Amino acid sequence: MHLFHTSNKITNFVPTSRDTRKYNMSSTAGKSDGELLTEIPDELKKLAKYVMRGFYPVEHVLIVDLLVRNVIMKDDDLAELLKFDKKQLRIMLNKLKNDKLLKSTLRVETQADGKTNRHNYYFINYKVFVNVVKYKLDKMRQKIESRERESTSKALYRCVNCDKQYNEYDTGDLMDFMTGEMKCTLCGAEVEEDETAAPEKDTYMQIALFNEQMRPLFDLLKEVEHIKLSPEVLEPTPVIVSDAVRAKQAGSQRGMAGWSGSNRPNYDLYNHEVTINMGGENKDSQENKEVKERPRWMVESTVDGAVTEKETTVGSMESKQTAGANSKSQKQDQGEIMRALLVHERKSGGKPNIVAAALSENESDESASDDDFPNSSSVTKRDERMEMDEVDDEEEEEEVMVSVRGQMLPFSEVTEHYVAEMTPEEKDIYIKLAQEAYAAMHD
Amino acid sequence: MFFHVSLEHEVLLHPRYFGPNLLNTVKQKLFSELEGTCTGKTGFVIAVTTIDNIGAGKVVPGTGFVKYPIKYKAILFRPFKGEVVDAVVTQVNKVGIFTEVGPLSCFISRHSIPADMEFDPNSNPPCYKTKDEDIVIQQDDEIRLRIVGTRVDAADIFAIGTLMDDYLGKLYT
Repeated sequence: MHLFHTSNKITNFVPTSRDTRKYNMSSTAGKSDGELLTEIPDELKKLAKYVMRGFYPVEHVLIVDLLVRNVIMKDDDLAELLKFDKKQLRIMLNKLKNDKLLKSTLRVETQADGKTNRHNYYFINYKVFVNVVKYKLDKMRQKIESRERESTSKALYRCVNCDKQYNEYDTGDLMDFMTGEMKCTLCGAEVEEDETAAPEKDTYMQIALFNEQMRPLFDLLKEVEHIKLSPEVLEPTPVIVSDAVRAKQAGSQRGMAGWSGSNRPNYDLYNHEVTINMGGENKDSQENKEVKERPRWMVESTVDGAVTEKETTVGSMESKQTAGANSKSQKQDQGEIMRALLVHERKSGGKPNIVAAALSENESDESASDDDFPNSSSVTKRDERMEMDEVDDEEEEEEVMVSVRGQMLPFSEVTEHYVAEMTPEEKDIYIKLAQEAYAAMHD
Repeated sequence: MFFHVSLEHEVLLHPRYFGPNLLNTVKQKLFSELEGTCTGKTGFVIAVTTIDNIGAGKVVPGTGFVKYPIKYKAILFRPFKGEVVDAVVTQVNKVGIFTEVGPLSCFISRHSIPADMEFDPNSNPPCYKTKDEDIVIQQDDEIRLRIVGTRVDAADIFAIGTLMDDYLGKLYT
């Protein structure tokens, strides 16, 4: 009971029998007291999280959560994982540092290309953290107590006549028990309550509310009281993590964060082989993905004359793979352009021999330059497929028929005369086809 | 809170009382001088229980009085902040309730009375009561209050109390 609690200092905690029981239990669990711990116990992590969630906005909470999970991180890593703007992140980190919750060490690294980078590595020194929390809670409690004390000594009554202010304690002197009114000692006029100095209703309850709300924090503080941490844990050294591993770790962390608790150690960080990839690997997977995922109906456009997507992607992939041979890629591009132009030209009604000649020219060029290239088998296959698609396209074009009063006519031959003869449904179909062709032409 | 404490006091005895009944007179003087008084240090002296020792009297030069140092035990009443006491209502006012805890006067400000109790000036006698008239506090009622603060004058102590806690307020016996 808090009847006579005038100084309920958190630091003067005398263990009761209940607490020594807890104490003994933890010692039998393998960590004997007096020994320095090399791993951060869960209570400390829990305390850090509780404190942050109780008193800080969500961005700071996230920063500290990450630092609880990874012992030490540099500001770039934090920015990358949290997707915060670097400047904002720096402001938040400085605030946490000013509040003495985080510590940082500066580390100068020399990269492979000779450039020196200065990075701030941030970590939580749990001993300091606990002390800061105790101090701040104590300060809060003192402030509330002093406010409560002041509320009783505030001037609450005022003389009507001479404006002299009186305290609650003075009411005993002022009160005239005969009349039931308070009389001013100076002028004898009535003393009334001062409305402007009315006390806040809840200052009285605040200390009880404070104790009530902070109880989980007080309990956690009691639990961590006896924990002693080894110096390595209090001042961790930064770990150099290579770029690829960092990316992998970031990805895995994001995946793990959803369904694993903070208790699971981050194996990726400690058991890894350092592999540095130049980037070709990523592209390979990307290309494979592309080749697999394109279904037939996407590959071949249902619209007249549109350049098939497969052509363009295949062409672009090819251009990537033949990184060295620029001339070949240029020729490829030219071939594409020609083909696109051909398709549109054909629609307008002509079958120019020039076009065919140009096509065959390109084909021969391609086959010639194919031989130059060592890994060309796949490329040639793609070429053939392209040509086949091209042919398909032309065939398709010719096959697009419009029905005019039951009669099937090729699209290109439908004139105004025929349009007049169409039934309404046929006209609708014709109009739609025409619009699609028009749109494709202007793509 | 009550205390039973050993204290010392000096009684000055006028020569007119010199005679066979001297020590009795000294005791009587002690009782009358102490019982019912109050100091900041001791609080209210309720009663002197025993007189342990009356020392040798010394004549004070210049006045002729004799000074007797007396060791005695007395019951004291001293209020403390945070203490819960039972009190009797002496006056009900719009600014609050005036109560007495034995020799101690205690005032409960209107702001320290639960909000559901309102001052009713029209009732006879004036009282504080809840809306549904479940609880009525008027003069000569016994209430339980918590002492929030004390002020010590030269020979008096005055206290401020509150009813804003659980189990405080009117007592039913």
